[in-house]
Amino acid sequence: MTTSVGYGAQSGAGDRRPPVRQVAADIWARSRSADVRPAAAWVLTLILLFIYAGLQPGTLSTSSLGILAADTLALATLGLGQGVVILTAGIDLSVGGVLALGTTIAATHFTGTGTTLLWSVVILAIGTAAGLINGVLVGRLRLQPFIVTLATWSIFDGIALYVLPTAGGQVPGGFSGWINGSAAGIPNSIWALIALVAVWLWFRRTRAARRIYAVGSDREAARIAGVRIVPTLVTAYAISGLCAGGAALFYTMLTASGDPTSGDGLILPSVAAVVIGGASLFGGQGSFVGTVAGALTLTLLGDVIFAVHLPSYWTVLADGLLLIAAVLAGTGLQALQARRAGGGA
Amino acid sequence: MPQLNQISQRERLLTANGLSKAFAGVHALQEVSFDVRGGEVHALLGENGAGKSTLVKVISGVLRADSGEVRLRDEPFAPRDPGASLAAGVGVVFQELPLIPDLTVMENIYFDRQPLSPLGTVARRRMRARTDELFASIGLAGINPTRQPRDLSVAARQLVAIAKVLAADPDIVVLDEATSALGPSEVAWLFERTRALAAAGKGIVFISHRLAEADEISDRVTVLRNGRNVGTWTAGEISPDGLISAMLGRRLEQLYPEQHNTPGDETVLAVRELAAGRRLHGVDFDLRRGEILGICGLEGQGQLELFLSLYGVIRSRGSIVVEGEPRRLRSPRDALRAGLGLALVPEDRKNEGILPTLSVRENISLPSLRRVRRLGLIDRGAERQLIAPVIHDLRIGREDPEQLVGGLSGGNQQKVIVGKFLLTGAKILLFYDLTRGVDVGTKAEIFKMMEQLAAEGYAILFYSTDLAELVNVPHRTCVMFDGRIVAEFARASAAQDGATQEKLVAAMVGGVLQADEEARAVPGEPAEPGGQP
Amino acid sequence: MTAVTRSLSRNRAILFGYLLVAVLAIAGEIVSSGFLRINHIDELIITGGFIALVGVGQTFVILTGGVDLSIPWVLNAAAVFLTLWANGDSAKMVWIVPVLLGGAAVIGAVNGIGVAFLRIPPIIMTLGMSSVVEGGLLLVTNGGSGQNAPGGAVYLATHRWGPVPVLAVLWLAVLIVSTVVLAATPFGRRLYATGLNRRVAAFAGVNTQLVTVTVYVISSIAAALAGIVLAGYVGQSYLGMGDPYLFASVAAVAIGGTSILGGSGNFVGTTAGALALAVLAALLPILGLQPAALEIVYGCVILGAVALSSARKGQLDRTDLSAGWSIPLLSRLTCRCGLGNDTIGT
Repeated sequence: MTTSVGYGAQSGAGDRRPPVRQVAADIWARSRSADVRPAAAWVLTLILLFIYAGLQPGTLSTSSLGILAADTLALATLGLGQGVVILTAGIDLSVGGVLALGTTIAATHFTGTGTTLLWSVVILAIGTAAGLINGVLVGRLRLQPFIVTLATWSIFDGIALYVLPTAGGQVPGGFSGWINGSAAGIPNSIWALIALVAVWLWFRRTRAARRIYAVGSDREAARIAGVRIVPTLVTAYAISGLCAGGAALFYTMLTASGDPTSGDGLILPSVAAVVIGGASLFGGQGSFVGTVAGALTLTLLGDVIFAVHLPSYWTVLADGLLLIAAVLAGTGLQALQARRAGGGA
Repeated sequence: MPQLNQISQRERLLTANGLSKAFAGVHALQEVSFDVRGGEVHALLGENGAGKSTLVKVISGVLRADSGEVRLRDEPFAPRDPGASLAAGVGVVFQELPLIPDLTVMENIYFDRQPLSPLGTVARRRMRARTDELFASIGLAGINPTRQPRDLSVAARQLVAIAKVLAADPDIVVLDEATSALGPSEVAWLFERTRALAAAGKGIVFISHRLAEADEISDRVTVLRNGRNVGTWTAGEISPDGLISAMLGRRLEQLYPEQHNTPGDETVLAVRELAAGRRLHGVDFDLRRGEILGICGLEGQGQLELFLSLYGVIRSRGSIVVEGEPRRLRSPRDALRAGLGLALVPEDRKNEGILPTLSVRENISLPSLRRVRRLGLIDRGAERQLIAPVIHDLRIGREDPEQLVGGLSGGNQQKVIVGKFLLTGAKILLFYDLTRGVDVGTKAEIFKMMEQLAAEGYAILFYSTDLAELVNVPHRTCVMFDGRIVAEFARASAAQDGATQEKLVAAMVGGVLQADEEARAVPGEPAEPGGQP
Repeated sequence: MTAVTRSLSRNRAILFGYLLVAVLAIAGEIVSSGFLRINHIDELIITGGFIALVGVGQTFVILTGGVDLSIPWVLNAAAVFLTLWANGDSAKMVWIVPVLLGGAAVIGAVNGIGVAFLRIPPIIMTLGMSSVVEGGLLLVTNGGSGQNAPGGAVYLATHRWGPVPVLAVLWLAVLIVSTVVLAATPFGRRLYATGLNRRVAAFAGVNTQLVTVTVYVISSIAAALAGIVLAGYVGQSYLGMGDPYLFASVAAVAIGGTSILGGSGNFVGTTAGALALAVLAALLPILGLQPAALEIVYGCVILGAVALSSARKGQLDRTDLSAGWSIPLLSRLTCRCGLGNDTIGT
């Protein structure tokens, strides 16, 4: 009954190998896949961390790490959503507008505890709604992601300008102070990052996430496999919008004010964080675990530049170069993997 | 094999009535009726382009028929997509093997039906266990479920695609060209599974253009030709010759043009030790003026690499000598300058060689713009004068240069592609699977054009997956296996020991057989040559 | 179909663009009489002229299926360096302008090389370069700004020959040259082919990499030119002067009927788009709307134009799952090795 159809060296010959060799073989197989890139991103992060620690003693203390986490939180949250959209081979430029809108609403409506809570929910809802709009335009009308999100970026930036024409406003101290506080000896900002990672680790194993990966990996194959493309895309963009709203909250905590132009400078870093973290711009590969590393890398880069007394404009320059370099490294690695991987058409 | 009355008593699982489907003027299906009964293996035969795949796509929900209906056990059946079709009990293994590249084998098999943990996440260990069980129960071993499709061979991917459908335990299984990438032992395994499924009361639809395979496995046979159902017979009721003539109709003689020209003596293309990519390991051949040289082989034996390296699309090693001059072909531009032209297989409704929204004139003149340039601008008059003879000689459409290429028939579109190269002064034409999925009328046009070109002195390298064509059209045919040329046959009509489809298959598959025997010694496995055409 | 009717149907989108301009202009006149007096039209043309200048580059890039997000900062850099180096002396423009255009060409070439040879998606490449140029500019100027523009630039930007602004003449010249290039030169033919289907074009012997690099070079040069003239118009340079022109350039191209996917459209349409946006920008304050409204309008306009354009092209039959079902031959060969799978912003 067991007609053996074997594939020579390519098969992981079932249970015929001893367990240790099986594990080693599996690790080797996984290392040839996209998993190696988030790990590389973390290596980069740690290198930068130690460089910074060398320049700035005391960096490795809990409170300093907490500050680092606080500085990174908004970007990381943006990256979470952006990463999901990039998984579908799309891109979300409107996160800048949503973030700007969020900070301006916060700065003008957060007056007391009640209003802060209420309007926080509203901001998250607005972000999600923005994402739904993007998703419908990209999924249902089949318009190109970049042009749709370019347009909605402009729209939300405009609305933000209406809400708060110039940077200013204020938020309750309790709100902005949270990000500097700590619980059980660990800074809240680090708790927040851990929570985000935990949410991701759960989410990526859900069927919804598998569908998102599938759509980005090969849209036609996903369609044939029964994935409803439009709802999947709408979900991905909605998640991005929701995260942008969350990022707005974190950002406002950090700056304790609102700024209608705050989003513009965070769009490139959000994409850069995702790409550094190992995602493929063509979809189907990527993980928030890598994105967090990417976001930390970008923040640390800025800190290092500051620590060596270079003008902060170097950060802008460096971010751009890093994005391009990360994309190149990604495509280079993919080509390398393809050459090593056997099989074929 | 079951008797006639036994089959007719079986339950009709799936019935299609009067299905019609047209694409841009081409009638892919015309009032096709078809049924599948429990416990039978029903072969669906027909040439390339006869409508088999279209029928399958309509049944599984990929396409919507223009008219007619499908019923599953007497209920109307119109699935939204193949996933829904599978859920309803009709599983289709498509020819194109749509596996999701970034998911593992087991994720592909259980896609959207993965076992879940209480948290709503995919339970990987359970999925692995289920996959191992599934593989064991259907007799598949040696595929690691945690690998990704890109790490597997084509044959392995085909097996995964089959396993995916079997995993859902559907009542009806449709296998569309499921053996195209499989070697003989794998084909034997598939036949074993098919018989087991039929014995369990399932209905199997087995689609192939390989007569012998279908003959071996089927209880009933339906033949499609030009989008119509020309007949259904029980196995044994009709002879193989009868089947062939049903598949081809009476046009067999008219399909292949008169062959009067013989190739000249001059060698226009000499290839030595040409190797490229991972799959082309070293081929040698000469191509003479006015000769049509056929290339034959299973998928993935290096023929695509051969064509692409001759056209400068991929980097190659070895020597290419065109008309006596050694050439380094590193881009299509180099190839064009050397006098080569490439026409690729047309895909469904797209065509990789044309710009459909532009006119015939703009398409044909694209590689030759330098010839009509005056003072930096395009001289429209010169352009029209340049392309007029080409349009006329090849009889392209209404012979109107302003016609949009997208509105032309498939055959005419191919002519536009070829015309483009004629204008560049190409002497050597590379035709890669031009006739795949093309209807018989268009095929005849294409063969006529090829014969005409050969008579005018063009040299043609012609790859096809249709063995009948390779036997009848080229002056001689080379068979490729594992990146090398392993056999050569003269045209059927030319010599005693000319090519026959059996000989071609033996050479194509004989290579596989040898490799199989060398790689493993599996006890109790008779080494059977796989499907004969 | 005669040649004339065929040409009309192909250019339906562009006609819509001009129709929009007319409607908006008339609406403006209705709301505020005197809207269409000569002096005001001149101002509209000048506003539109800047959009058109950045728009011509964006047109060429979008025609190949890409996009150039680095335009604002190239514009800004050119403006800043002009004022910095000229220091008010118009004579220096003789060497400054070529140097600036040359520098812009280098930036464009980098963009083009990244897209064409390194297969970096255009959004990412130009987004990254935008940051690089921005960072570079900030470093050089140390965040400072506000040098005065030399007279030569001011002349270009504000002088009029009779009722006709010099800028309008420049616009007209660009219009003529770009239309001739696109419609009647081998380069133009190859450009459209590249935008329609890169692989088919390459197989037909078109040097698609050269075409790609060229359009990004054109885009950067046009942006630099716009920056020079804009500095003359405003009288000085300052950081951020390029910001409005990103959305404006894309919107103008979209209104003009050029397909975002590439392969169809031309600068005649973008001209209409630039005019429409200029009229809109003038209309909004009259209607009592704040400047923020302009951003919202830009966004809606882009969406509307793109949605209309794709609806007109007749989207693939939505009941037909098989649309796009086949696996192109060459991706079977390269199987997702990062080749030929462009979806982002291509």
